[in-house]
Amino acid sequence: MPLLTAAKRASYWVNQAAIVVCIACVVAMLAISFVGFLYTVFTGGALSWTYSLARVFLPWIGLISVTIAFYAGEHVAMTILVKLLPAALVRIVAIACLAVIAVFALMLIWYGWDFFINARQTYMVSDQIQIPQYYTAVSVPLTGAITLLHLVNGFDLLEHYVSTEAHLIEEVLGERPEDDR
Amino acid sequence: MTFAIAVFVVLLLIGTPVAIVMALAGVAGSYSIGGHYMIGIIADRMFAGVSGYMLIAVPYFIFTAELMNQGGLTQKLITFNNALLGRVRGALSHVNVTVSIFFAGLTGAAITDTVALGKILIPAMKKQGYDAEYAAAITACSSIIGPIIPPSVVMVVYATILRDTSVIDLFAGGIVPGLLMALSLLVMSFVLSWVRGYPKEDKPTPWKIAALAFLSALPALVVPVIILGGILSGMTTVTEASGFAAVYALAIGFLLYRDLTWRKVVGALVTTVRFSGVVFFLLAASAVLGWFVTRSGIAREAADLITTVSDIGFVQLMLVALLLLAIGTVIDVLPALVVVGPVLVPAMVNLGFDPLHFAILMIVTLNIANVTPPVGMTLMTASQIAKVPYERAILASLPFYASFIAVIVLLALFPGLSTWIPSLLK
Repeated sequence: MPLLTAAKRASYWVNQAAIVVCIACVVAMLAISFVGFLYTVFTGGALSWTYSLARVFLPWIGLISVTIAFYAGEHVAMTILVKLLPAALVRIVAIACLAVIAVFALMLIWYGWDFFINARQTYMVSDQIQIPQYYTAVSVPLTGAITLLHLVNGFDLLEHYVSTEAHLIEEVLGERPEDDR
Repeated sequence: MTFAIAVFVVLLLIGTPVAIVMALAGVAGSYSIGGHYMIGIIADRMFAGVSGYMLIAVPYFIFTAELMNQGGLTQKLITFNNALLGRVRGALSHVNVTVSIFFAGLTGAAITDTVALGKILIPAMKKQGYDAEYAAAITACSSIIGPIIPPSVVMVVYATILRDTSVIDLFAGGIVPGLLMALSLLVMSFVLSWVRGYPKEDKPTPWKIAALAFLSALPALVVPVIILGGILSGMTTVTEASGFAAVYALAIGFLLYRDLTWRKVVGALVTTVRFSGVVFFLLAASAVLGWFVTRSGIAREAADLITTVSDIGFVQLMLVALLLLAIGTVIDVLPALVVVGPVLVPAMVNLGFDPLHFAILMIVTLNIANVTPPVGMTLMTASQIAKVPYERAILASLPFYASFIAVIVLLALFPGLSTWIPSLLK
């Protein structure tokens, strides 16, 4: 059990780090886009490097933010059938669901690593600022690894199994702590 | 194809996150096409799915909406609209609709509008004697104008996964249908208010107060003008305009309204990355499924199936609209869009429908399904705010469903309602 507690703590801190990274990427991208906008307005021309540089951050935000939504239990799922099942069956189905997520995460790590290695071996760089593609490609296996780590939280990740719509709405309205994991 | 469909159905039914369902069904389909060599596309497609340049606008739009929401703009808009409509019977009901039009140009997300407007307007309506379920119904139904009138995250997602329609055309194409939805709600609101004798303001709002409310809200109301003006005039791209809007929202929040704090900004950024994660997960996964769908011939078979039922264009559109309504009753707008879009849109284009016309009809229909049972998150939220059972809010929404069905029929009958403004830009 101490191992599980440590893993849950690691999952929490990795999620906090992911939030910081994503926010940093959004702010950096925003600054770059704003510079591009001002340049266009005042000169009528376009800064070609803003396009390339902003795109470097996008896969990082796109994929790492997936793990943040996943940790927060904000994934969209269809639970009409699950809610009709008896409690014992729900537990089995929930375990199956977690196993499927684990398979998905392992595939992202395995094939994402291949994708990253391929990006290293071929000379792929962004069009204007010559940033190698593997800087962004590494976000794929990393997303898989973080998703796999978050699975230590078990059923807590499947909020949609246990939460009623009322609970979800209370969360939207800010009437309930969003994350008390 | 059978293997992919089986994976899709089983995983969906056991409550697996929809994005993972789509990714694994796409992988299963790819495997059935090209064996285990094709499984690796999961990494490549998911990466490509979140790398489109236009997607930079997604976190910007969400961030701008969050900042606007935190900035006390709602009350300013309500005061201004109430000054205009206060003397009409059922004033607050109509104000609910007109404020939603303004909000649509700022946030573009239905649930955001419901929370922001509902928390102020629903208690006020109850206090004036409106039925609580009616207050919930009008708030939820008017909120779904948000994703139709630009800017709209739903439209950015649509243009990303279905590349035959530009986001500029979608933005321009959404204006008339969005206003039409508002008009249909206003007509129903007037009729119901008259029949039920809902209240109106005793005294007209002094023009000075109305003018002050307008001036106070004006800097925020400039945001949609910046976004749409820049994009539709061709002066800026969607990403540049959305980026500027976010910086502008920060500037007026700090310097003009002075109600924004760093704590609120950080809170808005955290919400932005969390909600972006939901959107990007669906996009990344839809790229995997989309790869398989385009190679499997499902779209062609879907088109054949539609033509076997009827060869009349209007009937075909209404059949598809019914299907979308049915799907939308159990799945939220974005996942429904990314699941059925890659199959239905090529099928309808094959049948000769204008891609933009069908795109707008699809987005409008799926949004309308967002206030229908059993899963109508917007209506559920409004009924929670109004503290009425969901079932009563559904019953109170029935007249507004009739208004929306009229809008769907009009949009299906007259493609010009969706394509007229985009045609002016060409």
